[in-house]
Parts: sequence; structure tokens; C-alpha cells
Amino acid sequence: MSAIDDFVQNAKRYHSTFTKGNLLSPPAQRVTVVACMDARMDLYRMLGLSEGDAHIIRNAGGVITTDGIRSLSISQRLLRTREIMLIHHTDCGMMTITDEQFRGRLRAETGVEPDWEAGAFTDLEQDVRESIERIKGNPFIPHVDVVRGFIYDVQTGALREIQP
Amino acid sequence: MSVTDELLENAQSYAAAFDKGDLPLPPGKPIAVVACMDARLNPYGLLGLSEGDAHVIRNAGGVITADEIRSLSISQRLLGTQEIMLIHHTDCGMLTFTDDEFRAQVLADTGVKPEWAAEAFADLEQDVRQSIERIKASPFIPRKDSVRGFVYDVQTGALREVKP
Repeated sequence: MSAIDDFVQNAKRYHSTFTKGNLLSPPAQRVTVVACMDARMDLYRMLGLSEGDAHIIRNAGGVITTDGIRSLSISQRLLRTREIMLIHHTDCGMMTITDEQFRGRLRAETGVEPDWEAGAFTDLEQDVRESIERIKGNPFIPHVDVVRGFIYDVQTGALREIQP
Repeated sequence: MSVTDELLENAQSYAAAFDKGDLPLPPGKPIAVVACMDARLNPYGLLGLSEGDAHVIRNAGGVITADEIRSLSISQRLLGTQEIMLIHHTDCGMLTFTDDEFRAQVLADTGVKPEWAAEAFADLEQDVRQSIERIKASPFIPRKDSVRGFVYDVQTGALREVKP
């Protein structure tokens, strides 16, 4: 049985006890969390989030790409969020490669070069700061007064703020 | 106190009770979930996910853009995932506007026209199918045998598979 089949079974249980059908589309806490896709980070348990609270944007590395800007723009402009929380984490896969290596590997294995960069980084804190600057320097994100960056430690479970 | 500060207090409670420091980097179940950022959609509760289980990739709409291809490529090639589960949902913000409207509004507000499309859609099921096709058309995602799409109903909590 595939993982998807397992998840579909779990979803039936969720549905059978579901009581949150009246939640609104705009997030109640007016916050958007941008984080890495890493399996070890459960943002709901970590941040104490419930259904309806916050937008969650996740990708490889939690980096701010054009798609991150698109999503944040829609989150703030259409759905009225005001704060942004960025979360990177220790032992991230993006620290184990370089953009050049990944590009070379794709070229070798597929014969095609991607028109995107992998977004690898070597310094976690520096990448968090850069991500904050990318958001603050973007004209399509109107509310940048509260944009804060954090690193989650996958070994201890602790969340630490990165000072600008 | 900002919402971010409240969430940080929750994170301290999480860390205090944390006992999952030994999880490996690759997901325990070889799967990546791609879902909309919507606050009402909690993939952990819905799918019964725990820390370490699966990659979770999210953006506005749960649409497949270049950034999702990047993340899925890294998920499969570097971290060994093999299945992909796409989740859109009812009452999605992306059903409430068009790309042209959004672009015109942003241009009017900022004086700058975004170089990206908002990726709005009018038909949920069709966009799920279209997203699956975008994945299948990408040379950078090696494993496409199990790519399945679903629509989550935010009023009933039910997850329904979209047939190809």
C-alpha cells in the first residue's frame, strides 16, 4: 500500500470528527509562516497553530523565490495578513549541495538544464537575513513592518530568532 | 504583543516537551505533499502526519510553478521521495479573481507590474488535473508513477480524489 493510500485512510478519520466547517478564508491570526518543506518541522505543533490561524508557505529551503513573493503578495493583499515569520532549520538538505552541483547533475541525468537555481546555501543565519531583505525590498508585499526570521533546531526542538 | 511573539511562546512549550531529536533528514514515508497555503487546510491533522513523515510544500493555490518543480526535484533526487500528493480545496482564494485583475490591481497600487502570474483558476478539479500534468511534463522530476490529486472540502473536512 502506498503512503497516499495510508493518508487517505487517515483523512477519513479526520473527516469523521471534523467540527471546523465555519472557519473563514482570511487567517484569524493575520500571520504568514514561510518555512522549509523539511519533514521534521510540524509547524502546527511547534507554533501551536490550529486550523484557520495562519497561511503556511513551504518550499525546499524556505527560501524566498518568485513563487514565495507571489504567495506572500496574495496573502497580504487579498487575505489581509500583516506579519511574516521565516523559519529555516539546522541539518537542512540545502546545505549539502551547491547550485552548480545540482545543475550539473540535472544536466547529466536529463540532458536539460533547469531555468531555476536550486537555492542552496552554506550559512543558515545569513540566508535567513537575505530572505528577510528580499521580502523588504519587494514592491509587491505591502506590509513589511513585522518580518522576523528564525532557525529551528531539529535535534533539540528549539526555535531561535535571528537578529537582523 | 504581536502574533509572532505569541507563536514564539508556543514554540518554547514545544521545545520543552520535545523528544524527536533523532529523526533523519529524508522523510520516513517517501512522499511529498503539495498543498495550498490556506489556513483552514492542516495537512498534519488531515493526513495524520507526524514529525519526520513527509515533505510538505505549500503556496498560494497549491499550484505547480517553477518553485514547486525545484522543490519536488530536490525532494526526489536528494531525499528519496517517490510519491506526490496534490491538495487543492474548496472556497479557495484563487477562485475569487483573475490573473489580469490581480496584475492590474498591483500595477495601480505600486506602479509596478509583476513579472509573474497570480495563477488564479476558475475550476478546482481542472486545476488539480492541470497541476498533475505540469509535474508529468517536467524532466526534472524522476518518479511520476504515483502522482495523485485531491480536493479538500473546508466545510465538511472531507478529502476527495480527483480522477485523471
